[in-house]
Amino acid sequence: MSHSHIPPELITNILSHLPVKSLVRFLCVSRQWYDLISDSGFVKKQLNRSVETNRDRTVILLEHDGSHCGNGLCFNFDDDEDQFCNAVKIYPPLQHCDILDCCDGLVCLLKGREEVVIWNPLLRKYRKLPSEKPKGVTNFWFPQFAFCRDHQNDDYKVLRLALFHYNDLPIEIKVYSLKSQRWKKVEEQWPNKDICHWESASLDGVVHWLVADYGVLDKESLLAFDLASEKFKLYTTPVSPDLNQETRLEVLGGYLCFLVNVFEEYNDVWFMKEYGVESSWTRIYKIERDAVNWDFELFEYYKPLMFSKNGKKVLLEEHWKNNATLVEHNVEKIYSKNLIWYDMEKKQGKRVKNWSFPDAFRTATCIGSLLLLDGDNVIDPWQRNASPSEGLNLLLKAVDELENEMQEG
Amino acid sequence: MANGENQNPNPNPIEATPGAAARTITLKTADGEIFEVEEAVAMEFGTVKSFFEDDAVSATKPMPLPNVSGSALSRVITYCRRSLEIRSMIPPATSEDATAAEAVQGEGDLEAEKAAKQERKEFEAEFLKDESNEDVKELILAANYLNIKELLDFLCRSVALRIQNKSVEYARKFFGIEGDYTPEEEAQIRQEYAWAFEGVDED
Repeated sequence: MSHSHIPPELITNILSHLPVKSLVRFLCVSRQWYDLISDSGFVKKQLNRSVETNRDRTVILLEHDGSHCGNGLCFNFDDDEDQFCNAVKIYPPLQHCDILDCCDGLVCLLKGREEVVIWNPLLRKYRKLPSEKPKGVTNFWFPQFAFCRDHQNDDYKVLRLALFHYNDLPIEIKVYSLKSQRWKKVEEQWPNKDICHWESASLDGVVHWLVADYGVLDKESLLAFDLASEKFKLYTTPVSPDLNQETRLEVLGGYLCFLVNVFEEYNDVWFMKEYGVESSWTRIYKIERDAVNWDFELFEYYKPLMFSKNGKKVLLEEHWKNNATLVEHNVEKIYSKNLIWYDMEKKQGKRVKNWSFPDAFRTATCIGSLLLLDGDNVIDPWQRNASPSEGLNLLLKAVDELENEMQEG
Repeated sequence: MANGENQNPNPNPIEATPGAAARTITLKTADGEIFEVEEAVAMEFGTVKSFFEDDAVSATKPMPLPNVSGSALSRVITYCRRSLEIRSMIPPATSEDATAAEAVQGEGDLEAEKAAKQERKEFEAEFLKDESNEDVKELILAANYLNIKELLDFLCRSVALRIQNKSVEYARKFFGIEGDYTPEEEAQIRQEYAWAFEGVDED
């Protein structure tokens, strides 16, 4: 039996089962393999498989100093136990930043009100968005960002609302497309509604906010902005806001999630089981006061991050609000001190005890994807020092920093 | 009883009773070996299935398989036979009497599915345990030629597992590929992605 070569479509099949680290290493095998792996069709196939199998599932903790995020740790969840072992140090491409959102293995970071970066931590690549000031106005504007996948156009987008508090100007809406690497203005007007909560929830090409009519405190709606059609739509929410409770939007397990935080009593979580169908709001779990040892002083609410592999538990981020810090650019200074596994059947929560966790942190969740393979490399500090061209790198770094300083000044 | 026109790859469990006459199909490999295979198993091979669908050819004449060796076919048959057995552990999804009967069967079905899944996991773990890389490659090419999707997917997954933590040189050797970068190009890739080359198994 003569040994013929394995045909390319089978090689692609085999490669699509590999984790990101192996794929990156195998870029070196041959030019053909480089082309196979970096092909956009393959990247998509590999991503879909990662999503199906939760491959390379990773939780990233960036340490928080009460104000912003810095370096952090990366925990791989590929085994069945959902354990937090094998911490690996991770260096984001931006320091003193905030985590905006994450999707398909990409994490969106924000620094100040203009520096936005899309980062693939598992690939150690990133892309910095070009600076884009709001149209013809003074310095008094505040941004609100959202990061979302636009599957209809095979794209990932950053949405920016520019709010002008001291002028009568309408909210300016702009969208950055990772595919075209350009900002574009959205013609559609922001509806005549007030935002209840700055943190939006993005899912499947739609960005969501909780909004209400001006001055109305006891009724909210769900405002949805479709990135493909660039149109707004309103939906009802399952629970109305009240004095003793707070409502929020999250995304969990691929569903739009509505969270009711009844102060010092419980966290109620609802899913929109069938997207767009208001009657499909279903309560998924409720965390009672006794379920976890709560500390009420600075504690805000439990942010759901992801389900365990068997779907029986939810990983929660215990959110603490830093009351000492002023709200900066409408980004609340919220950080986390604990991660908790909440068992929905047993209705019991257990804190993750891990000595390597930073004191305070923010979390992002990733899966294995090759998106941004053509992006810029994130240089780890140790790698910088170990490289033979250390002198050149240090010089380039110094020039970079000088340029940044000059821009900011 | 097995129907000559039966093209359903999932055998009715009732027909698997010993002693019942099952139709066989004769296959002839590249190295001249003759295999008589139960029709149900042979129909798992897409190539064989379309051969008998297209041509009203009698099943007595051996079908030639010029790209498959005897040893490979033997292994393939073992896999498909076992795979069919495992699949028959799960009661058919579509039942003539729906609703009430199905509701009762629900729990039992789930248990059966779980058991079947576990059987398959154990069987697949054992199947390739002692096979060399060359043997696995031969199996992949055979499964590809015979168009057996399930076996092919399993083999691809298995190869991926085998090479996952291996070096670039190992991958090249496995697939019989020559590295075609210039030394400078290769060094540049290795430096750019140095982190991906850490913690790799020794060759």
